Amino acid sequence: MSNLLTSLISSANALRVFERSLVVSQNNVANASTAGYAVQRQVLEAGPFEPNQGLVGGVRAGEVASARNVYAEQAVRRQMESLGYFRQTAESLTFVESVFNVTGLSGIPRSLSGLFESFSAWSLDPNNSTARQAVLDSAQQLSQSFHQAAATLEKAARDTDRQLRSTVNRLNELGEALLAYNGARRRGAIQDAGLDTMIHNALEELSELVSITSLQQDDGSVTVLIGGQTPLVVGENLYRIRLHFDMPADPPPLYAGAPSPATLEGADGSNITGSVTLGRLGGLLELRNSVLPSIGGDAYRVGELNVLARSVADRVNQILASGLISDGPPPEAGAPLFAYDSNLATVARTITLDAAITPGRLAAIRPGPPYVSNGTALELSALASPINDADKIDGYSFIEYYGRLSGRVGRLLADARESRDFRTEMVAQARTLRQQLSGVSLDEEAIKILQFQRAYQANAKMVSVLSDLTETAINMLR
Amino acid sequence: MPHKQPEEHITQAVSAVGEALRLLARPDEDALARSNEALNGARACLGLAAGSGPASRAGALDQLYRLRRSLTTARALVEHGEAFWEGWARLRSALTAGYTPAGAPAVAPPGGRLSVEG
Repeated sequence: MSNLLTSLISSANALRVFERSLVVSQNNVANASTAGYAVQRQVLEAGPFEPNQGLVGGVRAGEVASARNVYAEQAVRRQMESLGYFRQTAESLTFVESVFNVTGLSGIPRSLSGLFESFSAWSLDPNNSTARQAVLDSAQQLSQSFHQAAATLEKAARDTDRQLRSTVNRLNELGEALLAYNGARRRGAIQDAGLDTMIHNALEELSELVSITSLQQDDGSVTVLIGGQTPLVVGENLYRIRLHFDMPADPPPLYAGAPSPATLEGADGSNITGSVTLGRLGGLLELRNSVLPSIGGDAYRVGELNVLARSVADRVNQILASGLISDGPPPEAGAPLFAYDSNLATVARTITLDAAITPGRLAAIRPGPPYVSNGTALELSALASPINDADKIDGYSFIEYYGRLSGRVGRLLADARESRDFRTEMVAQARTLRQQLSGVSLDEEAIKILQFQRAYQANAKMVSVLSDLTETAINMLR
Repeated sequence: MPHKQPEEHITQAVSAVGEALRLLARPDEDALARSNEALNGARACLGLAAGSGPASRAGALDQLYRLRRSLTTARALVEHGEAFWEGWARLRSALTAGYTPAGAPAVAPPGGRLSVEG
């Protein structure tokens, strides 16, 4: 009788377990197309079989362990962080690149060439009032080109600030959502597959914004750290990230009135800007605090565009000041063509024609010796193809210097686009790998892992052979 | 039938590697096997290019640089896929069987657990 009862209890347990497995399976089927859903597995455990101690054996249900693997999730998130960074960089630089034309047909290079051409025409007929007016018109055109470039950079900075704010807001919103999910899990919904899906979707979106580390705690809650060290969500506490544009006191700003850097702060007020290097937020911070200031200047850097504007203005003014408007008597000294604000980080924005300059006040005469009636005009026209170091910036002519600047922007954009496309493929691959890991049974898994490893090894060898062949071919043709 | 120019073979190699990239980005067992075939096809195309006379320098170089870029991506996809499975194998072994005295993930003994998968 006892044995019969034992068998019955065992059978009843087994039935309940299999019924539960069926529910799990149905849930999997129903969610097969749900974005972010992971297959659930019902783990069945053999019960201890010790009849003389009343242990009836059979099977019992273990917990419904999510087959979603933390490992596979992290593989996707790592790729998402890089993809987010390059997506953002490519989007932002596309706008910046539009103003740095490398063809020389518009913008600053066209205006620079135009100014040098006007100097050349003036040198041919130094007293010609039309040629003198053309110099002023060309100088005005160059000033406007600098203003336009500076305005575009300022707009790019403003857009970046706006995007930084919205990204930080979204990041905190996702933190809030995770906070609510953590609460639900702690209140008992630890096995809720729908909740699990929402948590992982939130984490994936978060990883596109910023580099995160997520840890699942024993109570089912998720701890999220930004950059591996700054807490965002711990249990049912949210640690909001804050963005500000206050000028740091240390180090003190070198150029007053120029833009201050963007700073990210953790909830404890610590500066975490340096630890955010990936994700869209990393891309935006890099653009805002490094790329744009290196071109347009900020409180700590003059910026290459300002260096160019100032160098052109200073050198032209210097040459004109060394000349004479008329040899008198008394001789009348040359006047400056350009003026700009004393703040060196805003020269491109403020450069303009000197208020006192008129066509008649352009100094064409080099007093010498030897005296040359069109000496300064000739010297100015030689700025197009300079020989003297004084007419160059870091060894480059003004046009070459601009070419290097626009080339750098173009290269940054091309690299970002290429990396974005590359990372898009990596994310697609990581998602497929995750799917495969989620869907495979434990029994098949060991075999499958071996199959995959061997297939990859074979492919690696083939890629290596192909790379060698390609390099050989390139070397032969180069 | 006219012989193909070397540039055409290189273009075919570029297409074959492009196909391999597509397959490597979505790698199941079948896709992995087919990506290997595609890479092998690219190798054959390069071999034909080498044996089909002098190439137009500019056109061929341009295509070879494209090929090199694609191969860099292919290498990264292969390395990432390989590292993924290797990492998971190590993690899975450690989770199911712990570590050996030397600190390496231990090999799990045959399972005494029945699992049902939906």
